[in-house]
Amino acid sequence: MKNLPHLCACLALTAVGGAQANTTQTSLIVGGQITPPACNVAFDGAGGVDFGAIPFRSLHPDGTLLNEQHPRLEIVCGGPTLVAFTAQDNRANSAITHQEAIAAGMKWPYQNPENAKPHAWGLGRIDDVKIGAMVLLIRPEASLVDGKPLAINTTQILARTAGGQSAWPVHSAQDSINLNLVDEYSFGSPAAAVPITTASVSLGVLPMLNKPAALPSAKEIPIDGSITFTLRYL
Amino acid sequence: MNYLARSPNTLRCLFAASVLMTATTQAAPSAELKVAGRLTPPSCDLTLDGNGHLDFGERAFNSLNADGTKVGEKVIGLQVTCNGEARIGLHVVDNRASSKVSKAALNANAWATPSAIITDDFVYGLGTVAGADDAQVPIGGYMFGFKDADIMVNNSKAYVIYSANQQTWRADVPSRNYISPNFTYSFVIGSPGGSNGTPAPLTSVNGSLTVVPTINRSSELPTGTDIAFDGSATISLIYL
Repeated sequence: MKNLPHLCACLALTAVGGAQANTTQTSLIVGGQITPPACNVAFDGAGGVDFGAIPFRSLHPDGTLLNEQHPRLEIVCGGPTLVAFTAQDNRANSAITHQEAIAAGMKWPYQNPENAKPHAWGLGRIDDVKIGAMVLLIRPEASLVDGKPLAINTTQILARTAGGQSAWPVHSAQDSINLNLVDEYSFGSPAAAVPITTASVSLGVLPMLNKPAALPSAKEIPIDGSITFTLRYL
Repeated sequence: MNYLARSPNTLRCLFAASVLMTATTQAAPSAELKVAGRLTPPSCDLTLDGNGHLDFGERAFNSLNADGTKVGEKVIGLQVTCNGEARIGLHVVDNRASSKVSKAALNANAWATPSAIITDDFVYGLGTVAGADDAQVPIGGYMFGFKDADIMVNNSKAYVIYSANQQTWRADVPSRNYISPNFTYSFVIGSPGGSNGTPAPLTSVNGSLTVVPTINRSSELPTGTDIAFDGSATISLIYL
């Protein structure tokens, strides 16, 4: 038993840092940490999009574009809150890049030529071969903030480098915005984000599948994209 | 009973640890978007008549030519059937490649074709036999391919096209009538015309392969033993 107090002392230091000298200060930290999340985020439906069964023989020799699907990212806050979201690719390094696709004479899904940096999201690998790639778009024209459509003179969807403090160089109430790894997205006017209570963000998911000649054809290939959207309070 | 022995210090530490645990569950709200689907494979079967065995019978040693002997051709049926339309190709690997006799080693007319276009790349090995000092002597070589009249695709007349890269296809004669491990072979429905075509989606191929063996120089082969042809090639179906 003599070891136990020492072990605990280490834990306490790890938990609250060197400034933690006595129990009263511990209470203060508890008060600071346990703030319930002001907002929740979820996807409508079953939490994803499913392109179903695609017969291998229907694949195009130069890459196959699948029909765009439109899941909705639903953000719900307890009250008006300044909030942004970022996206992270859980299948990083499995995407055929735009550059690779063009070099190989392959098709490429639509991506906005202006609004935010384009990004190729992964669809997973099979036998170490990239299954394809997808472009993800934010669709302001089909999104709602506090139940209302977006408009240039009221609320737009905004984008800037994640963690930034600046104004929002990318903003749109109509044209799509490329969803990428480096930006954060919020709502409001180009000068400043505004607090929102709900946002229903329409996304465009546009996959492209690799050339059939590059994919193994003797077994089923699961399409396996996964992206985590995380909220950040501004 | 040990709990009673705890120092106040211990209790304070445990409290701090529980704060830490609370804090770690305090992750930012997040949601995962899953993008799912599946590519379902086509299903085609490739079969050769007689389990792929072709027997050229017996031949007397004293009937062999000094500069190579062409053996009478035989045909073997090949069928592909698919459960839906698929673009397919055939690819061949010679399992006896190290035993093949080069074309130039024998009289050109001892081969299936004397054409210089049909190079050693179209010759398959027939295996080896133990010769003098137990050295392994190559028995000969063979060529094979589809004759133009011998291919039906989806019950229509068809012809062979071939490609080195599965992108650019050719249909010139005599290359399309012989099969090399260096190329992938596919089919175009119709008659060979000006266009080389691209692989047609198909549900069936009914064809026959014509196989022509050539025996090595008689002086190379041992005379004291039966010599069995031992050619072996694997034909694979690939999806294009």
